[in-house]
Amino acid sequence: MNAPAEQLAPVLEPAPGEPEAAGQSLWQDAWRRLRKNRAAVAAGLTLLAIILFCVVGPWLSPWRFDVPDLEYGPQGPSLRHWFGTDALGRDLMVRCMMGGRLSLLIGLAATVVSLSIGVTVGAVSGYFGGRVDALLMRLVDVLYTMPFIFFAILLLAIFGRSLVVVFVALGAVTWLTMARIVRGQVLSLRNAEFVQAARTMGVSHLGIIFRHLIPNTLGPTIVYATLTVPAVMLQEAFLSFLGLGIAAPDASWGLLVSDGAANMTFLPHELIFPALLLSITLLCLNFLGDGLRDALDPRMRFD
Amino acid sequence: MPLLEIHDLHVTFRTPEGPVHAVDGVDFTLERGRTLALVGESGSGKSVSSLALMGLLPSPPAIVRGGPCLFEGISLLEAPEAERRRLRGNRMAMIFQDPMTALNPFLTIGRQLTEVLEVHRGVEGRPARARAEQMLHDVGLADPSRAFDQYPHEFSGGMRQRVMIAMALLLEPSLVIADEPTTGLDVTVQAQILALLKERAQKNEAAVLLITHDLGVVAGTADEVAVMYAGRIVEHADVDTLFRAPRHPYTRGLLQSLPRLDSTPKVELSVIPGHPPDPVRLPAGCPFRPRCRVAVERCAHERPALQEVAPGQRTACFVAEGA
Repeated sequence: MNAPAEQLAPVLEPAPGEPEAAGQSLWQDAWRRLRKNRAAVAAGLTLLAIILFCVVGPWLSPWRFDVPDLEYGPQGPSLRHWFGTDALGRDLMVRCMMGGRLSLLIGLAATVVSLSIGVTVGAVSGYFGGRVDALLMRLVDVLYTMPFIFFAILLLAIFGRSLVVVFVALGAVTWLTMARIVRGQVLSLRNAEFVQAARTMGVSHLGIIFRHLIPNTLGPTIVYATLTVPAVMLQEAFLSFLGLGIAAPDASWGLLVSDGAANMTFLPHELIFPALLLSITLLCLNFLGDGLRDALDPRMRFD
Repeated sequence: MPLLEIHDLHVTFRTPEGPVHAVDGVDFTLERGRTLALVGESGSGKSVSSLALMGLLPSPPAIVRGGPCLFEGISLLEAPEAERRRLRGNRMAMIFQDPMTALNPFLTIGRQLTEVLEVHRGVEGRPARARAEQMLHDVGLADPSRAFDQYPHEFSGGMRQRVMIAMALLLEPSLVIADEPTTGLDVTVQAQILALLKERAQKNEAAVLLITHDLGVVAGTADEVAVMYAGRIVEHADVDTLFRAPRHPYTRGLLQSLPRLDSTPKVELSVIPGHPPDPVRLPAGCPFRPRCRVAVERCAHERPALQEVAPGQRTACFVAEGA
């Protein structure tokens, strides 16, 4: 049993031809892995192009989103209006750009809210368990029972119609599911030996939650976050459709799609363009989310 | 002053069926540089004792009570949580049973090592990396700077256990608790890991509390042995005495049940009849009495205390005392 020191010879031989691992943090490693995923890279570039199109586009276009081209009237695409015009004769391309700004902003804001509140509440709840868990989860349950539309109408009625209120209303509902997902994940990880090992090393509770547990829940979290963006965009469209969200002449993709749907028999392009932009964005988000999930899992490294 | 002094340690779990006395009055002392093996079957309270010492049992449901339990002069049961956290990883460290699950799959080996330095010493960046790589080298990993950036899943079980040992000994703690450190490993790797643990601990003059049910591991590694049964130490002696002249009938039974190289083939292994008692309903008197072949009348209603039966050998058995 008492092996001499020679027996403790080094056991890890460097694999020949393997490039030196340069990465340090999870994020640097993830970035390297993400770049190897072609679908994710293509999706990311497309998304970037759409964002650029929406943000920069309106400044370069000769048309305004809220002024109709009266000589031209409602017509399909042409060299004068690349996406055509809407039923009132307004340039559809600029309206799509402006709508994109709003939709992307809402999607992003709601996701950030959902990630920051949802992940924190879920992780704390799952890790500490007991009374803390019961209290936080009952709060989530109570908020869940509130019908989203009722809640939104209530807020809009009290504070008046504004974009901030729409953000708050959407943010308040999207973090709930996130909290439940993260709590479930943390609950299953809380008794893992590496958590106990970290505790025997004197790591504090917060250190364990933020350094050890949350990175382990990133997979499902990211996937759910990429699903949140389209869901929020559609909910915003729903609110706008009811006349509670964005008001004309402002536009969002959801609103443009619902306008287009109303006129689809005689102005089909009015539906096709915004719907196409919305679909491509959602598709790209899904591909990107999938790529991120794989990239953030170190075990997928050599696949 | 001994490094670790445990007096009358009790751990009780509140359960719907009633209180479970997982540890029921354990005493021992451990000197610097010595290795004490806690031996016993599953449920005998050996792991719970060690977790209680680390202060890692969640309360509720666990209730830890007892006489003075001193570690480096600090009363473990009375120290506030912040102070105990300062001890953990710094003065007392633990090596876990399963190296496959005791490392965080999402963090690099290096990050898990430097975290300890960061938490206790405030050392970060290059100096932390240098220290961690030195430690990885000391536990026998060939290319420490490469290992530093690798993830646990890229390592074999033996290599991960080496990393665990590196992590535990990084801050040169004076007490290392090893909870079945070789259970998940091949026999050859087991020997290497035990030798490594012993060598590194001796270098730091650290005491090792080795928790195991493998008597082979005990014989090769420990200086002293404490045999646990139903939450109590039933026999405590130095390793040679215990293997040469066991006094408690349970210890004798354990040693007799080991298969031997020189035993006649096809002879049935000797076993201890019966099962360990239900910890919710411990029998009155000696808990081993229902399985004991030498039990006397007195064993049924009186519980034997740990008594010195020979120099350096303490046994909790009326029969052994009389012998």
